[in-house]
Amino acid sequence: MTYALESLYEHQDFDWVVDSIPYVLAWIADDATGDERRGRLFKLTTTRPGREMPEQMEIDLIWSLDALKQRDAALLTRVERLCSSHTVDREHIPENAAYGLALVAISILMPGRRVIHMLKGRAPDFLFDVTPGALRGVEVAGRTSGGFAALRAVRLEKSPKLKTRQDLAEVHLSLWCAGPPVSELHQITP
Amino acid sequence: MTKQEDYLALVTKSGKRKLKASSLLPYGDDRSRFQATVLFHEAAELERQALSLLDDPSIEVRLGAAIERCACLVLGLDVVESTLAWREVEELSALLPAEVAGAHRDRLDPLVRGAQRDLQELLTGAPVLHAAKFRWDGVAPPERPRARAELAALLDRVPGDAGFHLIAARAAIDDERMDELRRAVERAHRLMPANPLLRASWLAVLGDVLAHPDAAMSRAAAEDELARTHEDLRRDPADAVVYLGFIFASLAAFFVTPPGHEAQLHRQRALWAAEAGVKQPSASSQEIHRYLEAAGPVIMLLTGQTDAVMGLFDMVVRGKLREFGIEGPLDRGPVQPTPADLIRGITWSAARRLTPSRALDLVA
Repeated sequence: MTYALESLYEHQDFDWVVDSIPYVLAWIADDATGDERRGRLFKLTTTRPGREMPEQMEIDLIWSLDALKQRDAALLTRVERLCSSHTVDREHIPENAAYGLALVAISILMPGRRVIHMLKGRAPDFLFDVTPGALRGVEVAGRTSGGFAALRAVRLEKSPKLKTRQDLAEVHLSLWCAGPPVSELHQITP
Repeated sequence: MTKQEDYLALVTKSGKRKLKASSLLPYGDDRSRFQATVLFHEAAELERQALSLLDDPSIEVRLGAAIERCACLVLGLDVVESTLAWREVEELSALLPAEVAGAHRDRLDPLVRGAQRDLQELLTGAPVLHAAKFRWDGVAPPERPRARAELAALLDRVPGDAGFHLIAARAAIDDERMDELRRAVERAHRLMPANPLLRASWLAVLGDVLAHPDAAMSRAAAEDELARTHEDLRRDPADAVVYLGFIFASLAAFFVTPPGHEAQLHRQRALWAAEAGVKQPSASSQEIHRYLEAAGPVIMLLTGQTDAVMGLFDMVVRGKLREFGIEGPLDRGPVQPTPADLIRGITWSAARRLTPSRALDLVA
């Protein structure tokens, strides 16, 4: 499946997208500011409760810098700062990039669902239903390297904790690795 | 809007601020970091407001909201407020089975432990301020250069704590460094915009900006801010002390604006604030109402920037000018201060009165 990053502006609210995309480009693009259409192919594994075999698919994430710049005129400046400024705390780049990529996963695999809230003190990171006591959302993580093995470790750490939460009516895990470019999406509950 | 729609609107606003703050923080420069701390503080306040809209929320829901507030304040680098929020998390956790509370807190607990370690380090690195319980007036004059260095290091590490900015404001008053006072008061106000004393202090400083614009803030920007404050006060009445600050800033604008319609607009706003402010309660001091009651008739007299008016201000502010050494000794001849000089003299006086000097008994 091919997904154009600029489509995120149609599928999610502007405010969620505009601050995530610079991080996505700084994290996964070899030459983020090169003036042409570029892309990155992700291998994606998805699982759901009750379904034994995971599903495999590919997401060809492409982007047009011209189209992205039309939505965020400061995009290239922001990406350049993230890539080259000496003040930048690069530890946070995977975390913020994974937010943007999770928005991609939600837009592709849960069509019509829109993120409306973000949690910082507890899981999950993104919510698309904020009904107190019956939250629905997606927990997100990004790893710079390690591929599926690194993502598996994250899944094994996070899944049991999410399952113990009584206030989560539905929760997914969206995990991303930049090198090699792989991703997992797991439905933890219900 | 229904209550549910209001709730949704508040949490969505809060979530967007958190994402924006998370995206700004890693840039690492002073401006981005401070903006991130402000956004995290706003998100924390929105979480509090959202919770207040729920009818009889369960303890688990209240714990969830307290955790979010606490996380926002820790990430917003606010030592004092995050400690208070953490206490609330602990109190609510005690009302739930340990495994339920633990499942909610598995991300917050390490975050808070890290913040507490940072605080311990900060306190170790600021022995002079710590010994004075972070009260600038409690630092002996010979120790102040060292205390200033400690304060600069603190503000670099935790720019989200309004209390530290207030200490910087007190230090700036002692040094008569208006640029530092403006910056400290503005930052404290932006972190705690609902605090009436800080809002009044910021308006007093804004009056000085109107008379002495600089690279940090132009006169046009200060006028815009004043106009916005006017709208805000008309929509949402505030503590009486805020109106006093607004009167000062409006009169400063009146005096530095060439005579005409615009100057009269500022005078009208000052008059409106005197009348509206006196009807509002004040948590800070009952004296505020006496000042507000006296302000109205004085503003009525200000029909133009006449010599008589300047003479009145000259008389009132002479002492202040001498106190702050803005003009030469009065015995050299009649002082002929400009409106800008007068405004600066009053700003110093107002800042000294409005900037609190409280002890912070910080324990890591």
